Amino acid sequence: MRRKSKRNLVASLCLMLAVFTALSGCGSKPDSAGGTGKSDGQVTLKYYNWDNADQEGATDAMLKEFEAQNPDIKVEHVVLVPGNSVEMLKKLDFLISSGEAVDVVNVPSSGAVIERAARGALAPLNDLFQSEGVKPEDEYYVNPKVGDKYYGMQMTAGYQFVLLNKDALDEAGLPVPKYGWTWDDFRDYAKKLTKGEGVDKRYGTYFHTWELYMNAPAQTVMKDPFRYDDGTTILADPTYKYFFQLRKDMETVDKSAKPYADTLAAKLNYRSEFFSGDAAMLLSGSFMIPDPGNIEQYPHDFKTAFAPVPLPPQNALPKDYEGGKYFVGGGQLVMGATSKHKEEAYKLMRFMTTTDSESRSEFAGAKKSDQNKLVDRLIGKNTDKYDVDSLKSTLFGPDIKYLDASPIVTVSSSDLSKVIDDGFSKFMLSNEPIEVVQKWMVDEATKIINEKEAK
Amino acid sequence: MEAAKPTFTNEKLQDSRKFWTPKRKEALVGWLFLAPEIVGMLLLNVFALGFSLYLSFTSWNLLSGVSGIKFAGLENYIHMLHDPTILKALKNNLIYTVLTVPVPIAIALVLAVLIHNKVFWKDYFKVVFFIPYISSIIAIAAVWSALFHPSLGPINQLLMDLGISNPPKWLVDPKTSLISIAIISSWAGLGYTIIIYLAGLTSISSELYEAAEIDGATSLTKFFKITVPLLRSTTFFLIITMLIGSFKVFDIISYLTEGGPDNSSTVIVFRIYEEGFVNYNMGYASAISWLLFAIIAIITAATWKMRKEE
Repeated sequence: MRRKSKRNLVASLCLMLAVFTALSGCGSKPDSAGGTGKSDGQVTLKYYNWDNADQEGATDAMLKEFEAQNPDIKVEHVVLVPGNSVEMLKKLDFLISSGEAVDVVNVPSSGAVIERAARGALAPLNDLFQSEGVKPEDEYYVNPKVGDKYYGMQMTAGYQFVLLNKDALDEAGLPVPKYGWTWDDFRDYAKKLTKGEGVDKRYGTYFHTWELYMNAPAQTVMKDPFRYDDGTTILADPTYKYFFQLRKDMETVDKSAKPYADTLAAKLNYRSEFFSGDAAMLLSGSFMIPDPGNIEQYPHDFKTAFAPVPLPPQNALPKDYEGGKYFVGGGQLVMGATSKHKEEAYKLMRFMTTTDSESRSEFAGAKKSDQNKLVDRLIGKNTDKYDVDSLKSTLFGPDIKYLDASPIVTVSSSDLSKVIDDGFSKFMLSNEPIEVVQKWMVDEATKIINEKEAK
Repeated sequence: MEAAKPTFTNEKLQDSRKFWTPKRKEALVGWLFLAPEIVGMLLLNVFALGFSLYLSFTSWNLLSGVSGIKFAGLENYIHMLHDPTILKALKNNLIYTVLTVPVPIAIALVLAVLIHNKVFWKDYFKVVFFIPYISSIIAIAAVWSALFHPSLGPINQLLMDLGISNPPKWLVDPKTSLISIAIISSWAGLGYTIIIYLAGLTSISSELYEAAEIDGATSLTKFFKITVPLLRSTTFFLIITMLIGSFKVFDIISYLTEGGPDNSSTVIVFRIYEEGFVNYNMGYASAISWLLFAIIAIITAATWKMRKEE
């Protein structure tokens, strides 16, 4: 009896020990924070991003190129959360607040830069730019600033444009639209491109369920889709009234776009809507450039042409309109305020943002980089599926200009998106008058902004 | 648990050498065996419960890390009273409960009686009605959302063929979205209710029916005077479980409408999710969770009382 209970005791102690080791294993950090250290004059930098498996190889290849050029700098690539930029930012904030020396980080937007810079988490780059003798405005399209301090270098650029079914255009005898066409022209095009009835009907265009398609000008020719530069809501903007009405007229009067109710109910995919030929035009962005050539995944036999995003017409110009300059999104590189090797980190940032590497898979944010080569690479071998000239003039035509980054950062974007969503539903599905809906949206948004935004 | 508690007597305390008596050792071993479970429960349940109660009095943006927790007093609870979407969610919850508890229970009772008495291939029908219950609710929702499609779905096609030019848009219509969801989830849960009722029906002695028949009772009288009263405890059980279940509905709403359009199908649990994991207002989300807790606690207490009175 005695021996048995002793054995039980030992056994249960072992078991508990095992359990506690397992539990504490979850809690402790797998790697100690002292990664950035100098040894033999060599510096090790850490480069953080949110690559998925495909992108990781390309980034590593670029980092290798950098190491080859700078033998005394080693770069450790840390993927914070693979393929998820939102979660990645959360993890980054935890890292920074725990005091880890963060050297270079790729963040998904200039808003993310300003948000962290305002908190003092990032290092200003003015002195480093100055000692290299470059002016950020000459180098990058978007330069996020707080006060007169620069905090980011644009890594990638995401452009928006309209994809058009070239065969449908030819059939209707319409030319590929050029920069300067308006949403009124777009409606006209959509009407002329609509054909057939019932299940086989080809609509003129397809509007997806995103807020982008509830007021396209807000996200294409305005700096921030939620607030003006002075911090007030943009939901009172004339473009809202105009675009909401445009959406309703297109689906009920012209019947040139799939009804909003159908889009909501069927969880449609915007890529298949376009490539299956159900919609002749689609507002989208540069992330779709490889798709027309990808006929295994999106089988289709027509040619795709491209046009710049239509501009708002004279009777519905947004407040602070900058004459048709486009919003350009894109990732930014930033330097942590805690970095111990600022000069080396700056060198790495400049390399990553400006080098025309074969491994680059997205448009660079640097003005001087050779984007044409990248376009050719993105198009791939099925060039017959593209109207290449219209793509290049859409992206790099002489008229195409870009907006600066908005000076404000909106943290309550998910609350405000919901206000837009709900307002749009009230207008489209419950048929409430536009004046009532817009007033409701402005009131709600103002409430949220007063409550949650700093200024 | 009781037996594992070490018992103290003066005699044993005096002799320190003999502190580890076999009985105490056994008790210790017992506690050690329980320890992983208790530690797990303390950590995962009790701590989480206490932490959420604490959070409900703070304002905390999940993104700002633990250092971002700021005490806010009753602010969240006061805000809740003025939040129109919370009131809307409560109202929707009530409508949903009315639609998914009494109505399906009545239908299930009638179907169960029919299957029990009047139908050939009983087992076949039991299986037919039970299949939706064992299918994934998401798969069911996907099929129903195709049926409910506003312009191409079979339901609206039929209505339009019958001459209704403007049929409801079902899931995407602010007026009908909640009803549509209630129809789907009632249908999916019907099989379970029928099976429970069938089990209850087999326990009713056939002598009662025979005696009633001799006295000349119609089948309707038998149903209301014998079947319904004798199934009372079954009905009671179903009402309680379905009532609580209806307040916890989330998955089907999240998949089908995400509370929309225009909050027409939002419910309390969905609001908690939205505040906590979309807007990252953990403090406010915790406060709403405690509101839900209070509601469910009141329902449970009320039913306990009712049961006692019986």
